[in-house]
Amino acid sequence: MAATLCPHCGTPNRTGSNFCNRCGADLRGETPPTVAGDLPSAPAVPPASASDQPWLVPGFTGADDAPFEEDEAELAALDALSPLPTPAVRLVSGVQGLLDPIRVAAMPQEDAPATSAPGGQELPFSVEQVRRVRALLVEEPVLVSPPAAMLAPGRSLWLPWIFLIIGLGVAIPLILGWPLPAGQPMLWRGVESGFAAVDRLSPGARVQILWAYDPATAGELDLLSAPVLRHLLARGVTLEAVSLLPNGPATARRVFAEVIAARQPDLAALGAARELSVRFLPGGATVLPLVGTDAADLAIVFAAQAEDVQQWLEQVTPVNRAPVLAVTSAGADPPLRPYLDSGQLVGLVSGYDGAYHYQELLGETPLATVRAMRSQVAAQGYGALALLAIILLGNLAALLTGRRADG
Amino acid sequence: MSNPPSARSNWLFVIVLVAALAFVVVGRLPGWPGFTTITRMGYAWAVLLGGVALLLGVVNVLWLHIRRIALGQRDWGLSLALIAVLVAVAGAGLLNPAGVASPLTEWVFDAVIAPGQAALFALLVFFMAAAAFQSLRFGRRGGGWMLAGFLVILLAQTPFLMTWLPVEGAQAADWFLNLPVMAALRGVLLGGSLALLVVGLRLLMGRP
Repeated sequence: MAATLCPHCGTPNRTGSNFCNRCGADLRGETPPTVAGDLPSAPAVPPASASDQPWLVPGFTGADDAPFEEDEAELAALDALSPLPTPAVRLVSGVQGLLDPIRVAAMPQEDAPATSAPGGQELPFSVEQVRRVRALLVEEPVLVSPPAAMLAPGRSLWLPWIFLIIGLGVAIPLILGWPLPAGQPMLWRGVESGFAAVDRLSPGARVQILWAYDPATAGELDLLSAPVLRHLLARGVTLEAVSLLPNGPATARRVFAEVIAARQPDLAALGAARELSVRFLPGGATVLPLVGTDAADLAIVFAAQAEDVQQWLEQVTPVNRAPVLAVTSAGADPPLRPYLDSGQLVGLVSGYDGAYHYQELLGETPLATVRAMRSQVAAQGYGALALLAIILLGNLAALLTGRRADG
Repeated sequence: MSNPPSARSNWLFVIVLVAALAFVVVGRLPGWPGFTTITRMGYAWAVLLGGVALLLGVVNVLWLHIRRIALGQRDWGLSLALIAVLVAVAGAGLLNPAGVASPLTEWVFDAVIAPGQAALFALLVFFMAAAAFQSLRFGRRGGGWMLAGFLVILLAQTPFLMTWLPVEGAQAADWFLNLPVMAALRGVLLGGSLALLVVGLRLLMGRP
C-alpha cells in the first residue's frame, strides 16, 4: 500500500490525504513522490485519477466530505516506514498553512540504488546527498564558527560607543540641569482645548477613563495623568475607569493615591473620592463597546500608544458619542494629530511639553515640579540630539571606510 | 455516510456568528434602543470569555512548566521558580480579603513589576540608537529615503530641533505627516481590515 510523502516536511501520509498530518501542507493537486515501503503488495505511484483523487475533478466541492475509513494494510505500510529524524526544537514551529510548501526530495530507501528514488524515479543526486539536504532542512543549524561579521573589527567596537553617547546625552543634561537650548517647552495645539474641555465639566459630570499604560511608560505618562486627574477632581466629576492591561489598574491606583495625598486638605473639602476604582477588562479592544453602552460627558484616554486612542474612537465613541480627550506619550502624538484636526478629539495632550503646559494652565504647579519638568524636557531634547549625532557619525564612517549596507 | 465537522457543514456555528455580527451592527444603528441590552450582554460574555482565556493561559503555562520539571529538562529550576512565584502571588491575592490590594501583591507590583518594566523600557532607547546607527544609511537600497524621512520627522517632532527649522520647513513637515503619511497609514489599515474581512468570510463559507 502506498503512502504520500509530504513535499514540505517529508512526513508519510495516507494516500488521498488533502493535507499533511504534521505540517498541514497542501497535498491536493500534487503528484507527490510516494513511498512504497517494504511491503510486497506496494504498487507503483498511483495515477491521479478521478476515482481515487476526486478533488482533481473540475467542480469538485466536497473536499472533506469523504468519510474516513481506516485501512489496516495502509496503516501497516506507514508503520513499516523508517521513522523520520526527530527535528530539533525550532524558534517558530507548528504554524500550519502559513508557509509555502518547499519541495524536498523524497528520502530514498537505505537499500535503494544511489541514483533512483522510490517508484523508479531517477534522481540527479545520491542517497547520501539527499540525506544531507534533508538533515539541513529538518535540523537546527549548528554554529561551527563565529560568522565573519562578528569578527569584523569595526562592528563590535561601535556598539559600546553608541550606548555611551546616548547615555551621556541624556544623563549629563539631567544631572547638571542644563537649560533647554530653545527656551520654553513647545505649546502644541490641542493642550488648551483639552484643558478647556475638562474645565467646562460641571460637578457630578460622568467622565470615562481608559487607562492604557502600565509601569513601562509610567515615567512619561504619570507626568501627564497626574495634572489631568487633579483637574478632574477639582471639577468634582464622577470617574469611571477601565483598563485593558493587567497592570493598568494598579498603576492607576498609585497615581490617583499620589494625587490625593499631594492635595489632601482641599480635595477632601471638595468631597473627592479617595480611591479610584479601575475595572480590568480581559478580551482586548473587542470588549471596549461594553464601556460605550454607558453615557458619559467626556472620555479621557491615557495611552502610551496611538492605537489605544484609535480603538476607543472606533469602538466606543460611535456608541455613546462622548467627546474624547487623548493624553498620550510624545511618540503617540503624530498619528493622533489628524484626529484632532478632524474634530474626533477635543484635545491632545502629549509628552513632557504637554504635561508642562497643562500644569501651567492649572496654575498650581510648585516651582520644584516646574524645574524637574524642565530638566526632563531638556534631557529628552539632548537625547534626540545625541541620536542625530550617532546617525550622522554612522553615515560619515560609512563614507570614509567605504563600507555599505550592513555596516 | 456521516459528514465530519467542517467550517461549512457546521451550520450552527455559522448561524451563531452571523447573529452576533448582526446584533453588533444593528446595535450601532440609531433607533434600535432595544438592542442595547442584548449587545451589552454579548459584550459581557466576551469579557467572560477573555477571562476564561486568561485562566486557560495560566493553566497552560503551569502545565508546560510542570512537565519540564517532571522530565528534568534543561533549566527546570527556573520553571520551579516560576511556579513558586505564580502560586505565591495568586495565593496572596485569592486568600487575602483585600484581593489584588493585598500587601504581598502590592509589594510585588511596587518592587518587582514596576521597576522591571520601567528598566526594560528604558533600555529600548539604547537598542533603538544601535538599530538606527546600523540601518539608517544612505548607502543601503532605499536607505536614502528612510534616512530623509527619519530626519524630517525627528526635526519636526523634537521641540528644540524644530525651532532650528524655518517656518516653511516646519509647515512642510506638518503637511507631510498629515497628508501623505496619514493617507498611507490609513490605506494600510483599511487594506488590512478588508483583507481580514475577506479571510473571515471565506472561513465562514468553508473556503479557507
